[in-house]
Amino acid sequence: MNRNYSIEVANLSKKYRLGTIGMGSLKEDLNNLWEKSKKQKFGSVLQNIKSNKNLEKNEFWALKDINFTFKKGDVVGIVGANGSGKSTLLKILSRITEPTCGEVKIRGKVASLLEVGTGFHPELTGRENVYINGAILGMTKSEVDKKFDEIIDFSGVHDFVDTPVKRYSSGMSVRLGFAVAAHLDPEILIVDEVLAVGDLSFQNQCIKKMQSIADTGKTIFFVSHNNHLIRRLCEKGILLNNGFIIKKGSISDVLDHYLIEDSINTTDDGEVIWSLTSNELEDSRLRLCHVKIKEVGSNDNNKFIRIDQDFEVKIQYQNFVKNNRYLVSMHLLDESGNTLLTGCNLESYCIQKDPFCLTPIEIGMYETTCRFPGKLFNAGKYSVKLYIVTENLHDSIISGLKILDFQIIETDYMRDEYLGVNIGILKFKQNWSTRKVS
Amino acid sequence: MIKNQLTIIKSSSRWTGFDFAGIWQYRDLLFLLVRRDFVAQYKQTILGPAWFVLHPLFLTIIFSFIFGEFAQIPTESLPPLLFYNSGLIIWSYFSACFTGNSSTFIVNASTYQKVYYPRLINPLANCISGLFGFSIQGVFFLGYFCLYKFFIPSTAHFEMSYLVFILPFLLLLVASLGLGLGLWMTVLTAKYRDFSQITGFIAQGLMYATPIIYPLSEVPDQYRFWASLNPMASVVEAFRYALLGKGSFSPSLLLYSTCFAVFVLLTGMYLFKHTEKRVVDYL
Repeated sequence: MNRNYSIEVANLSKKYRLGTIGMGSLKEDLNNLWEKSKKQKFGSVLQNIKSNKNLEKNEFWALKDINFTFKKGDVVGIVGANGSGKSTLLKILSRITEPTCGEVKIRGKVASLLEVGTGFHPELTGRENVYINGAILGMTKSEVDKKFDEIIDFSGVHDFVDTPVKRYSSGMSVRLGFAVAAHLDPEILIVDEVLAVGDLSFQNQCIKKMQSIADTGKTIFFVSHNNHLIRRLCEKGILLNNGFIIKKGSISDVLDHYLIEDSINTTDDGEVIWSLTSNELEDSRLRLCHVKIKEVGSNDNNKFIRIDQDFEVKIQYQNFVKNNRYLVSMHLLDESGNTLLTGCNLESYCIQKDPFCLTPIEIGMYETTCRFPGKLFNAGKYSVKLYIVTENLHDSIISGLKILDFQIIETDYMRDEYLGVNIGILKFKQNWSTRKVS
Repeated sequence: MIKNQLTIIKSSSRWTGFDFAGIWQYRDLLFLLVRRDFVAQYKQTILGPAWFVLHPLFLTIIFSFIFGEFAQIPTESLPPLLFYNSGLIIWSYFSACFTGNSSTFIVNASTYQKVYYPRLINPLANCISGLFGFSIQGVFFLGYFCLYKFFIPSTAHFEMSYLVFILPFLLLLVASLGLGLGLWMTVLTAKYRDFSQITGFIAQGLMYATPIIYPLSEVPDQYRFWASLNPMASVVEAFRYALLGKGSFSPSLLLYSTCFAVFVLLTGMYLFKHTEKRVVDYL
């Protein structure tokens, strides 16, 4: 056993039962009990194992075969879409619920901030609640005594220490709750989306505190949908999807993988080719073959686009049905998945009419190109989602498929006098002027 | 807390014993919860902790009228106030342990879904804070006792028996019974909410089945056996006997109650532990 690890998770799985457990299930439970006792009488051990492995019809795996090991001092971001199993994982790590199978070994005290202010009693004063909350989170009374002033300083509720918590603003109780948890001094801290509440200055205060906790060699697990925050705080990451770990490793790898989730990683030459057998895109009417991105005027595809160059995205697809009509649409997304732009080849969107838009076309291979202007988007990572629908606009053949990611890179454009980092999504020449008014 | 202690989390299908060490680790929480129960209950009230005394007193007076005056149920020649009050205070401690714990999982659901600590802390805290209420009521009972003994002339003859020394044992017995039954109910209510209704019936039914408004000696002979099956019956009788010298003290029935309490407590704790592992999944 390696003493260096702080947390080791092996083959962790968690099964949940769907539906409600109410009156109906008392009968079900009794039935199960009856079945079990019958099995134990007549069945073999083998049968027991078998029945354990198989999922019954109303069960599903919230986590399946999770394995990871982290060292002391690792700050780990856990990312994934809603329902991917993040919270279940954290609940198991903080011993709120038991796994169905598998094992977790944790070295040291674990504290979880699954929701700050947990267990606050509205009738009691801030002071009384700090003590109870500290105790719930695993501190002894003397530990709270020692840190009490620090906690109150951090939360900034000095004047209200002896006021019942029910008179607090929601921001105040959140601050107080986080302050208690942040002063726990655990070896492992589990933080779940707590920073969503609280104002900006408090969020920054929390982040600073978490950074300082991380600097003292504590292991932190951090769940958030704020990818910038995760990138800033964490070094390592886990990407979950439907209960499986899809990717683990350095946070930038994990986030990059997450942000282009269900798509393919675009190679550096800015081209994605779908093989003939790629069944996820199987459709009898149309097949997506080929996507590429390049600077206008350049002959080579490249996913790195210079900021001052116009660029175009080309989509090649094969039409199998004579006289079918299609509409091609694209969404441009930023790194965090925000949609920046939607566009399609409808007449009103186009500078020049696209003759193949929603007109009956012959069987064959087609290429639709969308040209984006340079000197508009700032440097950064972007991705493209594709939609192809047939004439009635509801029958989508490809819906929101992430087909491509690319990067806009800095050049000397708008750079002569200013040496700092430009933030923001857009970057274009603006109309500035100053005149003397009086 | 020990640094670098190793915690292993896994599916514990096999019995791993009670987590007494964990409870000891969280003893400060136990203490704070007891305090919280006590303090929070009477915040923003005018009479505050006086309610601890007024509540059984009102009931005692009502009982004195209905069962003593109207129904003429004998009180073993004791002043009705002392008779009913003695039964009520020990009963209300049982009731605090039983009903108070019968919905532990539901009441604390929001906390249990967020933080881990040994769940048994909550029921234990309930039992201990109930003891405070009992102590206050006990002190006032002694007050009534002296009042009747020395200031109000009465023909009734009553005095404390030497068995007053077994009071701590009786209290422990009541706490174990209440806790054990309460844990059973909380396990059942966690899954099937129907049992929260049933708890109310049980508590009320059990109260009438217990010799609080009548002495056990007044129970007709053919029902006496069934009445004694109620584990609280002998306890209340012994409690009254210890304090007022009237009633019955039956070591064999107390032994039965003790065995019953131990059984109910152990099975209750076992079920509770078994349930707490995954209870948040279906709360």
